[in-house]
Amino acid sequence: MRKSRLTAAVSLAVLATIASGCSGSTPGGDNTASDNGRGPITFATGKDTTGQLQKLLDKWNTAHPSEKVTMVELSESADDQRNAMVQNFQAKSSQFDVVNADVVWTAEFAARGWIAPLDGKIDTGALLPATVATATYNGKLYAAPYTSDGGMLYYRKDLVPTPPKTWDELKADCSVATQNKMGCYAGQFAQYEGLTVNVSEAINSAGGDIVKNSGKDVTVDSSEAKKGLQFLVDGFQQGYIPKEAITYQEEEGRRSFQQGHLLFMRNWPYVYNLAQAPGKDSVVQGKFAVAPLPGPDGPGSSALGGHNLALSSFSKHQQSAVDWMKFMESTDIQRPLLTELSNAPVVAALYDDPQLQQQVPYLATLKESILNAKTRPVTPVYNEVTLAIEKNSYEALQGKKSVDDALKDMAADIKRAAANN
Amino acid sequence: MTTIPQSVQTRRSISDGSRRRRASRGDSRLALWLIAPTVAALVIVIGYPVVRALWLSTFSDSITGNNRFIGTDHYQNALTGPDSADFWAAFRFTSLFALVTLVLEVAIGMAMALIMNRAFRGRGLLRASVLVPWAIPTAVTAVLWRWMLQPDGVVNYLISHKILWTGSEWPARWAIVVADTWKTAPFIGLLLLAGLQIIPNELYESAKVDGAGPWRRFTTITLPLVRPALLVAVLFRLLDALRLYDLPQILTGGANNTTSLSILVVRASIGQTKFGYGSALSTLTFLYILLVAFFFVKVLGTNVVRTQQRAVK
Repeated sequence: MRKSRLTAAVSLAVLATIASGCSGSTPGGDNTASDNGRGPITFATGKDTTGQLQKLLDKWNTAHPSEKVTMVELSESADDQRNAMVQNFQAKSSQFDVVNADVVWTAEFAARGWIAPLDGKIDTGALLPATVATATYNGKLYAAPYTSDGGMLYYRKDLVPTPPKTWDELKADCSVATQNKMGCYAGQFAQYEGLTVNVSEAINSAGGDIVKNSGKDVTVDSSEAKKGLQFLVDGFQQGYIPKEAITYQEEEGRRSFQQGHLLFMRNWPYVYNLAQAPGKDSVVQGKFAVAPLPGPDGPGSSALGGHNLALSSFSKHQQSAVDWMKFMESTDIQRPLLTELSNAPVVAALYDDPQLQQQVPYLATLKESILNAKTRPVTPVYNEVTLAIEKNSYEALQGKKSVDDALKDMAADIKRAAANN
Repeated sequence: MTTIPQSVQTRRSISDGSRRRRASRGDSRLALWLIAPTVAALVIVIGYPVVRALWLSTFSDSITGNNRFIGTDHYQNALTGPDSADFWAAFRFTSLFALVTLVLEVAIGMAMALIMNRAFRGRGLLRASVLVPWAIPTAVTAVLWRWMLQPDGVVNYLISHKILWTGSEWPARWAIVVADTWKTAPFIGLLLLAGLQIIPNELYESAKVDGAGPWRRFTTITLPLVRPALLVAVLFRLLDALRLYDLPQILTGGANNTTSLSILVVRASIGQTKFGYGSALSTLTFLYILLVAFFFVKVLGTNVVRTQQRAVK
């Protein structure tokens, strides 16, 4: 009998340990801080693979010893970063004061009340207007633009001396590709986020819009949008986009271009240094250049990448956080962000800096790209909207659906996603 | 199975009546205390999430966070409503995948087990090397196959055809089936090998003396005797295959009609932050798997007993 009681006691003790482990408490910000919203802050961001970000933060920390910023490095995967942020917000935890949010998450975080409006607190006058649009939801500024990114047309300058400015010029240049037994044009056409980027670009370039008014109006079923998607569908049907491009994400396209299999490619700035790097991986060093994306009648419109700094509604040190966000938008930080971390800055003036232009050969083209860029759909249900875009346009590219049907279904799916919430 | 003759039982219970009863009451109380932690742990880690998911699945997914009780609306939406096309497509793909991989893996696994069961030089090495695909994490397997299945990858090079494996529906589905079979057939093979090793060699020898050929020996000796092991392997595999997530998620991202039920659950509850709908989907998936397992264990249970009885005779 005594033995059984002992067993019970032991098992209870074990259980108690397990239970206490489960309920793992989240440490909040320190409550001892005074009410003026000042104190140390934490900054949640994706993994910094360059290892340079801490140095930039140290600049702030030495000048503000009582409002130090601590970096919390999340996963390298964007989905995992978002999950970590969402979990914290749902728990109303003050653990993350500022999050480094992908531009497409900003609207959702704002609509859910997880991030605080920054109207009047951040001066956006010196920033590229397109980057400010990504941080705006329902006419209010909800985040501080931090980094940007834009698509560019990579082209083989040894084969095509002047890059095409319109889609027709691009198609005409494809005879050069045929002569050289290479593919003509490729972007990112596998069914994933990259396809949403490429389809948005084609539709925006043709003057269409997928949604308007912070996602409230669905405008994708239009003749302009049709013209845009048709350009990509024709590519596969007429052969100016090689068949295998239906499986391409960024990396597959980059490898193909570096191997000399592509004449034109739509891709992000990161490709430039890799394709230029000496070694066996690239056979196109010195043979390519970048240009703005072409459109139907003139320069096209890129989709915007990049990240915004968003202030958590649950932060206890909002005053310090806002000051720090302003600091991160200063040229002192934005310049090394470009030179050390290879991120496109959001400060317009930096793109015209002759010294930087020399250091970063694609800078002038990137500026033009971002100036003409449009955000991907701004909507609180972005993940459903992007799935609707990917799925329907992918079927159109495969020839399973007509362009008309694809856009009609896309519009219906987007409307349903918005209505469900 | 443990059929003690009725008369023996009765005799024993008469002979040491009350003392035994008291002892057994103490024993059973001890047993209760001993299993209590396990039961409690199961309730916490299995019971609570299941009940919680059921509860959550009856609430709406409002973006403002004001979720109200909506009863079975999510279930209706998934089964017959606007989102039913996605659900049934995932249901069909998951079931088809489970069925096809099961057949392939059992056939290949059986062949592997028969070879490994033979006595020959280097058998240990073969058994160890067969396990390599199983030892590789599924996520790594998926990345590996994704590389091999690129348009200019090694698979297309070997078959000297340019197939766009992740570019259309059936190649994408086959890619997932092939990758899964490559990984799991050895596991089935090992489970079956364990079953083969308990079959006494004399049976084969006497069958040979009686003039039974290799196919006859396989169907009348090997198959019936390896059946218990086979059924356990099939059950494990089936439940595993119905939970399919990582392979298509990495290989195709669910494109080209390769979205499994689990991908749908994760997409709704995590990607789209719709906990109500996600919980409804996960409950439906859970019920489906439970139903299959229940049906299987019923069939399995009767079969195992009958096989053993026949074997004893």
